Amino acid sequence: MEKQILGFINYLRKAGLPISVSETVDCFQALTHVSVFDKQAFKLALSITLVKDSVHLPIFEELFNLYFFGSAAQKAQELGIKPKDLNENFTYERPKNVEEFLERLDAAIENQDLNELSQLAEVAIDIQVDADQFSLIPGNLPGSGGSGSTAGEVLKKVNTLRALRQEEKNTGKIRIIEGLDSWLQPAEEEQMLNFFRAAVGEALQKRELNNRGLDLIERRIPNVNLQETDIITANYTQLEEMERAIKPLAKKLASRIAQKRKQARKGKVDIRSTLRRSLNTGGVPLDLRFKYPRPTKPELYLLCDVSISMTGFSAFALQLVYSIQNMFSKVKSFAFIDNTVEITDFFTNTDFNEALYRINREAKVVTGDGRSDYGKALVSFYQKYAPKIGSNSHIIILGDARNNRRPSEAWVLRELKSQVRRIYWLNPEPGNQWDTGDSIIGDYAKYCHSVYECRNIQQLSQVIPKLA
Amino acid sequence: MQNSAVLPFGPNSDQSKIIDEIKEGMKENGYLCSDTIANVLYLAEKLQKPVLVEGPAGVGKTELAKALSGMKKAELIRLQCYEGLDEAKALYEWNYKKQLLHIQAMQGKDLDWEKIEENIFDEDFLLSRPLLKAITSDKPTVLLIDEIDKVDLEFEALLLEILSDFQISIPELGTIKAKNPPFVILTSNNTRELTEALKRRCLFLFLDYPDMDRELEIVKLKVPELPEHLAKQIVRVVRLIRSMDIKKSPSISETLDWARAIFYLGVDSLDRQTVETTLNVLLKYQGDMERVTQSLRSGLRV
Repeated sequence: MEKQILGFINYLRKAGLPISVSETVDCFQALTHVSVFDKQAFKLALSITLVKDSVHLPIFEELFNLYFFGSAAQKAQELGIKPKDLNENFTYERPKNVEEFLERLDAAIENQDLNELSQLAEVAIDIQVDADQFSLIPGNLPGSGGSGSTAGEVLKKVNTLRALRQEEKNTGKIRIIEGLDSWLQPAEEEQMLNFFRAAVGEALQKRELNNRGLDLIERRIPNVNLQETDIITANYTQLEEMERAIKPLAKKLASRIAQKRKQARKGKVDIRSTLRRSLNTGGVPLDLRFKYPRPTKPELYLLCDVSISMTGFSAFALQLVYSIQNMFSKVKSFAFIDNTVEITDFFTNTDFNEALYRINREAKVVTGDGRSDYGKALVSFYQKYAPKIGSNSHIIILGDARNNRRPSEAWVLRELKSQVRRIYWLNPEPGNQWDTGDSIIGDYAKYCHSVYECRNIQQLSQVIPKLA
Repeated sequence: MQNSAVLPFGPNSDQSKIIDEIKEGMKENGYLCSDTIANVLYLAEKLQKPVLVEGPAGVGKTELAKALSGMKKAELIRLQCYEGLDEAKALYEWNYKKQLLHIQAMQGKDLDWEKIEENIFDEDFLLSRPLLKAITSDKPTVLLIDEIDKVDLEFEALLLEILSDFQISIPELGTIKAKNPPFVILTSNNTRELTEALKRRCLFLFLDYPDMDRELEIVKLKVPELPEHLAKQIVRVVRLIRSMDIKKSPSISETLDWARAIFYLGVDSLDRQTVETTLNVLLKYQGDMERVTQSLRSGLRV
């Protein structure tokens, strides 16, 4: 048992949770006070001692479920490490037939019971259609259901079933939804079904991996450890999950920076306050008080490479930068591939991915062959917009500086550097790949105040606060 | 490892009983505990560790500490954190004026300086601030360190000694150890990353908005005079608003305010008119209100 828990902690660490030895000790101590047969208490004892950041809670949740119910749990059991009762106690009481499934689904939707919904999502995979007869395969038989079907298909089945049931119940009567319910009900139901859809997708993915006999945890860890996953090499599912992770992060960042700005303490001595303080010490000003500076807000100019390889990165970086936009008096964004175009107006609605997609279609960011040309893009930026850029401005460039061996035109940055307050460059490539191949980041770095490596969300969220 | 079928962790028959007691006790003090919260309180008590509570504003973090002190019949000592809070305001301060008076009063008498110095660095001249008070109290105490994320980094370091060993070192007096280790609750709104050192010493509880059932229970507990169906409608509306993309989501306390407002309006059932006119209780930004009103109007089939 100890070994098993240490194994679990090890996985958590792999997934990016910083767990110290003293926390491990706490965890074991906490476990002496709870019964391992009480799933909730057991899980909680682990989570409150090991997880110290709300960002990590979903990771814990997923790994806990995988580890203690997934294939790893079975393996451990085979090795005799795990008390059998633990697993049995942790199992979920499945609905026995389709009828019960539907009843519970409706109840879960009405009560907004997310736990039940995600459990039911796993059951939903096992619904089978055989000559218009729906049936539920009992148990988690290997190879049963799931494999091959898509989330859409499963949902279609569920929706058909629900519609049928609704018809049966109402036989002839038309249900009228009135008053406030006509606002509440559809919205609530949609919300819950959206959650259910996502849960079905997840369940299918797990089932698939399980059926192929792969170690789920090992597979999931790269997807779970989003904070440290390279953005430009991430696959589609990873990007999707990052997308989900980045929203709370942006919010967090926004409130954090507002705070930091206030806390920056450098300034002149506040005579009035110092004298008032000195009364305590008989008129001797022992304790100096300072006036907090009120820095003026700079203007921000953002230049994003939106070529295919960079889109994911640009979307995240833009989203994070926009989260701190109230640190600036004005934010203007520009996109380029080989031509720079202002795109500020595309972001009136906050879906960044959609906006970037539209930019690629509608804005004239390409004039040539569709490959990045930083030189040309910079020149076009300089010609079109530079005269309007004031001295109290920050310019931030997002890109990998892979110029396809075209002229760098770095003089543009040299000129701009003397004109504005700060030029920063965020590069999503690992530092050791800079200036290799067609990367010419070095040419530009000379004229930037700082060039930051921003491979993953973690680095991004560390760098963004420095830009204000 | 084969013989580890003998569990090192004793299945504890008391555990579930104690947890039920905690829930009951907290409810009497006006706080509805979820299983999670009750379990955390139980473990914190057993392990004698501080609890760091984090979550959005208005989910009842501070309330938790208040109810806890009520349940344990312990004194609640509250340290409200803010920028620039220093040890003189949080820990202890020498009562400078009293020391001065004492020296002046002693001037006539024949006392050597050493004696005086010994006297004036006595506990009589020590002004206890919340942290020292919590440590030296004879009675059991609950120490609430509210909004810990507002203080500076250096102050956090100051807390470490108290949090792990329940003691305070005063250079002139030596180390003061707690007679009754206080039950410590720290709350944070996560406006700043807390240091690893602090987090390591605490149990971590993330409080989010409650699920529907619990929120309904809370409304019923706090506004008992409200009819059930109305309470349910209120909770549903609040939850839907929370899922919208707005600046400030309504918190539990705002839900309760709204529930009371609805009650005093004396309506039988919520309709669009009532929601629209009372929205300002729930939402604090004009933009948010417009957004909800708009959705309300477009979604309603009149």
